[in-house]
Amino acid sequence: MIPRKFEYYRAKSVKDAIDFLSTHEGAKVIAGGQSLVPLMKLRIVSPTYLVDIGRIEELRYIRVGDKGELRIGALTTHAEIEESELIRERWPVLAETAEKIADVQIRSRGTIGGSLCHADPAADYPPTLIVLGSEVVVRGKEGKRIVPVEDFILGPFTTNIEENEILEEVVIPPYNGKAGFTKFARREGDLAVVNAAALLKADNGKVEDIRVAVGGVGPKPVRLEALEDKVKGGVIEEDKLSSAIDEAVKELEPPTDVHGTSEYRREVTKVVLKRLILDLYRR
Amino acid sequence: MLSLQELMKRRKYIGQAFKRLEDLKLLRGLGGFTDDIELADQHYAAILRSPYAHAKIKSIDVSKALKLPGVVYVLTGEEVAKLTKPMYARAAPRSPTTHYIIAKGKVRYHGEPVAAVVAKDKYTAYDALDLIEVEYEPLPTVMTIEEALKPNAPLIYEELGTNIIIHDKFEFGDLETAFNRADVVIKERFRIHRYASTPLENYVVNAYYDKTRDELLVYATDQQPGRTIWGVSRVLGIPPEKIRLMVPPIGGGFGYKLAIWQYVAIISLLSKLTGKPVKWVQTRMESLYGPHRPDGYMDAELALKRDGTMLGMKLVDYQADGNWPFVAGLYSLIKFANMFGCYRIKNLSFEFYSIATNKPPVVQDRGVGKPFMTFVLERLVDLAARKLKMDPTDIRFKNYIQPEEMPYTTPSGEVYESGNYPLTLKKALEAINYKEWRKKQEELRRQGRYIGIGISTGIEPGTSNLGYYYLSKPGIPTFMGAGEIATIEMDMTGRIKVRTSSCEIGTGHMTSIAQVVADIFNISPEEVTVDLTFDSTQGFLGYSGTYSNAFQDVDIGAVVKAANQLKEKILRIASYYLKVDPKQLIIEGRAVKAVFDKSRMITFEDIATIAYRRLLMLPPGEEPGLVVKAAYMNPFAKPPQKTNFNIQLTHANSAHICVVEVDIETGKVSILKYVIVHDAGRVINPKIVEGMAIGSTVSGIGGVLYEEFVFDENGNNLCLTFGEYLKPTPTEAPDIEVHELQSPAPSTVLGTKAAGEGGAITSLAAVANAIEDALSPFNVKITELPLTPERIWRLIRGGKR
Repeated sequence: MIPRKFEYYRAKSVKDAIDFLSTHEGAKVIAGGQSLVPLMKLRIVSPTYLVDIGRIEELRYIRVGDKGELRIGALTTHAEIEESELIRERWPVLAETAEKIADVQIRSRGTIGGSLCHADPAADYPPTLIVLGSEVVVRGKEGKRIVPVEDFILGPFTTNIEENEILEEVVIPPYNGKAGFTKFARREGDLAVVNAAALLKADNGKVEDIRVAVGGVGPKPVRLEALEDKVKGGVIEEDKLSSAIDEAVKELEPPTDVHGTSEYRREVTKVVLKRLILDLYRR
Repeated sequence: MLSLQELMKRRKYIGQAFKRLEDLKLLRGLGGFTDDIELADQHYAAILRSPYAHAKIKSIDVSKALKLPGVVYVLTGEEVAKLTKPMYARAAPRSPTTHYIIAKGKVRYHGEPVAAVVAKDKYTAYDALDLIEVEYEPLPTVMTIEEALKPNAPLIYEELGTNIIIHDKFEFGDLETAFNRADVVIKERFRIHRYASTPLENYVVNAYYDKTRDELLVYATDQQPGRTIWGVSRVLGIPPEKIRLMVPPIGGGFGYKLAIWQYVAIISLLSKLTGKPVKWVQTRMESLYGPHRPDGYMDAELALKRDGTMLGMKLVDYQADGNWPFVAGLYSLIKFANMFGCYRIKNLSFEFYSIATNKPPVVQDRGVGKPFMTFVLERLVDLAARKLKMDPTDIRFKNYIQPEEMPYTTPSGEVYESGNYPLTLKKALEAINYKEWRKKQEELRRQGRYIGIGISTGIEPGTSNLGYYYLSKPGIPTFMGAGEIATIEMDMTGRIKVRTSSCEIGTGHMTSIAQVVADIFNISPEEVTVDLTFDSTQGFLGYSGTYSNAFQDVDIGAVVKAANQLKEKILRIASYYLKVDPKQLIIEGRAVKAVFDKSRMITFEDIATIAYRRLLMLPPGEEPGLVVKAAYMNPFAKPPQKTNFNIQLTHANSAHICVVEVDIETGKVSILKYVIVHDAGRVINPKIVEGMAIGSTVSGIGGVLYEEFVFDENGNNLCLTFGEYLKPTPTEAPDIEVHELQSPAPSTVLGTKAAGEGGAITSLAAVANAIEDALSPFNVKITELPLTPERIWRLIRGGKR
């Protein structure tokens, strides 16, 4: 529980951080430290340099952009997202997601940027951000690039961010329709055994659009487009929905760990998805 | 001497929910724990642990580690074997001879100490661990009892020629007749898993061997310092009187800290070798390596008449608790304390196997073997009720030992000193409104919701009569009976100070002792100073410490005895000074006064002045000073004999009723309601006892629903952080309602009894019975823990609707 030796650098600005990252081998960015510090204490990760971006106030904001999109600075904590009135009112599913992350202490320190860069396969934000069609803004020496969350996360603890880049912002388009997030975990504060988010637009019982994503059941969170296609355009009946879900879940290859076998995770995924979609549909 | 009756009549604080005196300091971060102590020139140790569950150590190269600046010493098993004696078995007839405090030659579990480093700071110490090069040759592992018992199984201890460390059998009554007369026999194999208490504070040892005095000073988070001194002395060859062991307040024990002596020995040896004070703070990962509770199984048969009357029981207990031979057998033997539960069972056989495997060591965790014993018994009773189509309450009422039979001696010799078992359950049924829940259960089932009601009633024994270690071993026990020492003094200013030979582990000893002493001297608890640091120079008994729920019995016994002696002395001095007969004196307002004329009085301060400074004013023959040391032992302890023994000396009891709802699609359980009726005899501080009843119940709920150490096929422990090893947190803990009954124990000074482990013992079956009840439409039978969502989901799928 004692990390290896590292040097600490407190970045003054995004540019300063990128400069440091570009000129130092083995440097790692730290924001809230809720994932990185435990890994360092376990000596699973041992960076040579720790670049602390925690005091870069320009990365801490929640605001609405020109096109009505929600823009969240990377350093915004889960607690800030959970408690933001703006988000509660206009992107409630995001607040509902944030409030399910870990516990109060972690939510008060952990940041949305940190969570996305850590890319735990069972993290809570990604399914929600994916169904909302969100993107992240990544800045490097050459300027910024915009990447959909779905493409940003490549696999377990792997993203397409370069070593000298910083995730600056999360951009979430406005949505209409009903969105929900659900999580099945052993305990309240645990990482999900399975989590899922869905966005559903229905008119008079007819599904106009639906987007569904699940996490914790593979190397990365995934959108279930085949399921969406089957549900779209008609009314939802429980039996038909169940068999569509069964089909979709067959494609998943959930991991086995101490919290559940692959087989069990698959079954729970079915239950979670069925309940989530029916709940949204009937809401 | 003040009689119990008088004290009970006059008491102001005993029995009151007095606010804990220790909390203010704890809340301010001023607890003063072992890790808060830093000695001059402090050095730090780190321990390298085995990555294999079973492997030969072919070579260890420490040269690179020694070259790291700041590293002072690296100790390996080879050197340890030259300098120390091996660890030994307490209860086994034959002790292994090759298991040292640091592994020599081979490792026997994942996480076993392989080397230890001393460095000038802890960071360097941990960095040095990465530089120690160990070459292992993996050996086939033995991870289960079944594997260990195979004829050609690899041996954990080659010198024993077997993996069975202990095998013994006991029989009481006429079992054959009992089973012949039976209408029904319930036969089942029950399994228990590995789980463990995980106190907030890990092990901490800070040792300094002073070569100029040939003395060892050790601070340690040790629940049983009396025994540790003996063990460390034996292993390291330092005479006990040259060891000063101090135990500052402990940040939670639960039995986990009964196994620290191995580390006290390692760190003390490191200090002796380096001449430096060496501190070691166990990491959380190290704490999860082990020790744990052992896993195991029990083959149980319960014979009954058609009307539910229990006739006899056969138990064969297999425990994988042989790896650390020091504790081998204890999980089985302690079951004698509650194997009959609350029931009038006259015929019983108990056979047990203590088996060595490559799982980590075990320690006497909260309740030791008693939780599993109660789980087995209370599951059997429910299964019998199902088979006989009886309500689970009726079968219990039918078989309870009745209050008029108290004190009741079980066929094995255990003495249940008091208690009203039928009333305990009756009160619990009323408190939870049992009949209403049964109705609700039916209603909800029609809506497709599955709730279940689980009942478990059990004995919560306390105060180990330690000779029981020798029930399966020839010879005279190294320790028998149970006792503690208390020292009480009135200092030169007239203030009263108390210390005991046990340790403070967060269970409110300071407050409870202050309440009792306050009533004896008719002062307030704030006026009593309780010293919570154990110090071996102040006197202790061979097994002094805080464990086995003994505080309410032997600690309080010693405190009351010492306080009464001091009070008599004070009265004698006052009597001589006031020229009033002691019988005519009362204590009031920190003074001794004549009953008939309260102006004839002498203050505590003046009495202290006489006793310490004006010695010539003492009554003729009276010794100066006002310091009394008194030792107390429980008078009911019997020496162990195979046919008649009392393993534990007080027996609290409780009824737990739990209502759960099971999500049948995911297997997830929610606890809707939890009620306990707890009878711990006379209670000194009901709030403290209630807190312990709730806390230990939550630890039991953790054991049933959340906690399990899982190992892979190579014997690696997969639960080495709190991300994998799941403790219940406040969000998982239900609101637990505790009601109290008080059946005073005739065997203790104040009528108090065990308090602290009861929830951990009785809750397992309450939750399991509730889950089985909820799933009765699916014909599910629960014989195994933990009941994780996945296991419940599998049970539902395996059962038939």
